Amino acid sequence: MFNILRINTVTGDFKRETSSEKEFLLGGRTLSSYMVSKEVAASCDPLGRHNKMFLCCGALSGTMVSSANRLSIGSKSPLTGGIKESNAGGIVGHRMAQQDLRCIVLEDAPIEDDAKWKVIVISKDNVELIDGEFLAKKGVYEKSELLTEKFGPKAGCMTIGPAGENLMNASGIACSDPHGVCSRYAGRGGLGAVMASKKIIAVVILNDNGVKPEFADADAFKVGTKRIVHLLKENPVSSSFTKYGTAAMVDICQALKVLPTNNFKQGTMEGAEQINAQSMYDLIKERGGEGRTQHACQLPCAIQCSNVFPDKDGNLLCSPIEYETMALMGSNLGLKNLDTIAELNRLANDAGVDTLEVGAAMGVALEAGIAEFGDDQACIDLMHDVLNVTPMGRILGSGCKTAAKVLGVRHAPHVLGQGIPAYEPRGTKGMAMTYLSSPMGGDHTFGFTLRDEDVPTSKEGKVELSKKFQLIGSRMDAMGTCNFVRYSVRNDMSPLLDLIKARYDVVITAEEFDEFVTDTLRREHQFNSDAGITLADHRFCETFYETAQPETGEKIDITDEECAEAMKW
Amino acid sequence: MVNLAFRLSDRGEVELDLVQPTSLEKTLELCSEILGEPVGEVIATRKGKVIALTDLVQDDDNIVLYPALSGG
Repeated sequence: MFNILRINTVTGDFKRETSSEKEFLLGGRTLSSYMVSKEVAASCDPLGRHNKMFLCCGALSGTMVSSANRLSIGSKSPLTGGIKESNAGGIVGHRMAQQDLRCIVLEDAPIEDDAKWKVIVISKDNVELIDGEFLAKKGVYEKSELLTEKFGPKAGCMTIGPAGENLMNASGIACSDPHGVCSRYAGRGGLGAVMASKKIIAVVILNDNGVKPEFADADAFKVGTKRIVHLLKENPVSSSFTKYGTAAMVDICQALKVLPTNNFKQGTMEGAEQINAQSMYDLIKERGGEGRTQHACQLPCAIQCSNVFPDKDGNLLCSPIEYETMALMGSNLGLKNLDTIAELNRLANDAGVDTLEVGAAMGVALEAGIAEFGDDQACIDLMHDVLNVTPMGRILGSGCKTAAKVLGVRHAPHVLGQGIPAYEPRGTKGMAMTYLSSPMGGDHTFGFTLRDEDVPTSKEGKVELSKKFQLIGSRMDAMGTCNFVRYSVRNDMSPLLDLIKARYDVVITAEEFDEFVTDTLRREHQFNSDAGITLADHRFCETFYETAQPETGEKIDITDEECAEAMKW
Repeated sequence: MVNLAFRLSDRGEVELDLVQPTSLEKTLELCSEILGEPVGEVIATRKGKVIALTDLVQDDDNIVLYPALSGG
């Protein structure tokens, strides 16, 4: 049986329920999307009292299995108007498992305009809504320190920044990392605004309950746990992540001509090597201090693809800097300085916004002439605008689509209102297919095809390729496991399914597991359809169809029918 | 002589003598023998374009190989 904790965010009432459904067994996105599709009216206002937020840990959370402690957050998105699952590393999923919780549901929302901020504190025996005004109007880093001061560094905390407090659509939810700093983001889709609409400024899961996982077969579980580590260590792809992290994608995307540059007008940037993985690696090593070229975002993790970027004095400036941020807040803005990118990343984390969404919005702003591409200081000033909630900051914090409308820019890189990630879609038709067909809006993790495209510029075979990787990518989300584990199990899920058997004595065949994954995809598309989203929303803006990418001569040539095929499960 | 340059890797460059045009897949197998370990999954480019495992590699080709990674 799995425990669900329902919390009414207005009255503070809470109740524990149990369920033995297999969706609860798997947890992760399987559960969050299942709950959203069952309990949230698709037509509801995402920032109204009828929306709910579901926090779900995964099937192997709380155990010693590597990279299995991600937290899935599900809700209706204010950014896309559709279903949203956004997941994060950190320790919150682990703390949930230690409290013997598979799902926490935040329900209701105050109607009064002057409702006060609250913090939800979940302990072994109780759930309390306490005054949260002491956190209001502060940046995420300060909030994080105050939460640590009050609840200790081992508490699992989730909080929002000024962007979330002001209901900006690009706001995310920051979760505690293993050092107690709220820096691991469930960034996409505006979930920070959903939490804020319930006047919840933080959720704290205390470290006061050491519920140890019980194992149906402890010996088999130990063997299976070691097997996962072995698979990750021996897989050359996973081990490449250990040295360079996702930053390695700068060189790869530059070589494939899909590095978003100057508001997705180009796919290469002259001088891209100044912000590539080797430059970052060398700089971190040279500065030393708190800098780390490898770092775990969750414990335990054998991959350790994260990093800690230090300032010139060796003090922590930002952790982590990921490829997507290096592209959206780097090349996409014409920036070639890692310190500037790190500063923008830190400011975005402090404001509590998705670096991808705001990076895309800033690209649009630069195209509108607000500043020049490549102007480091102007970009930093724009991020300060977001942090300080100025009128320009509110525009950028509303996301790429809104920023483009307000600023009069046609070339707005988004699908379904969500800014597209760091792969120029005209140069990679597989990624374009994935962006178009995702129920989450423009999303790369939904079905990452780039590494397997023989001819990236051709749409030939890309429906099938995208669907293949939609399934593979969704498998990891389905049970709360890091997406990078997929390299080691993409052809054989049995190492993970054997662990579920050893943990719960439940046999799930590979076919049954994939049925759960496809059921999740069907539910997500159905929710969006019920919310009024149509095929016509699953398009890029027209400029991607009209104007060729300079380096490849390619335009988007994917039809609605092909997109519909990639959405059919 | 075919030059295989590994990027984002400590392997550096490998040179191979191919007597006739050979598929990239076979070329990588030959490269593995020289390295003494599997090449692993890679993205291969020639003159700035991606080439597939079935594409032919021949004398004087410069192939650049990247680990087949993804963003996160």
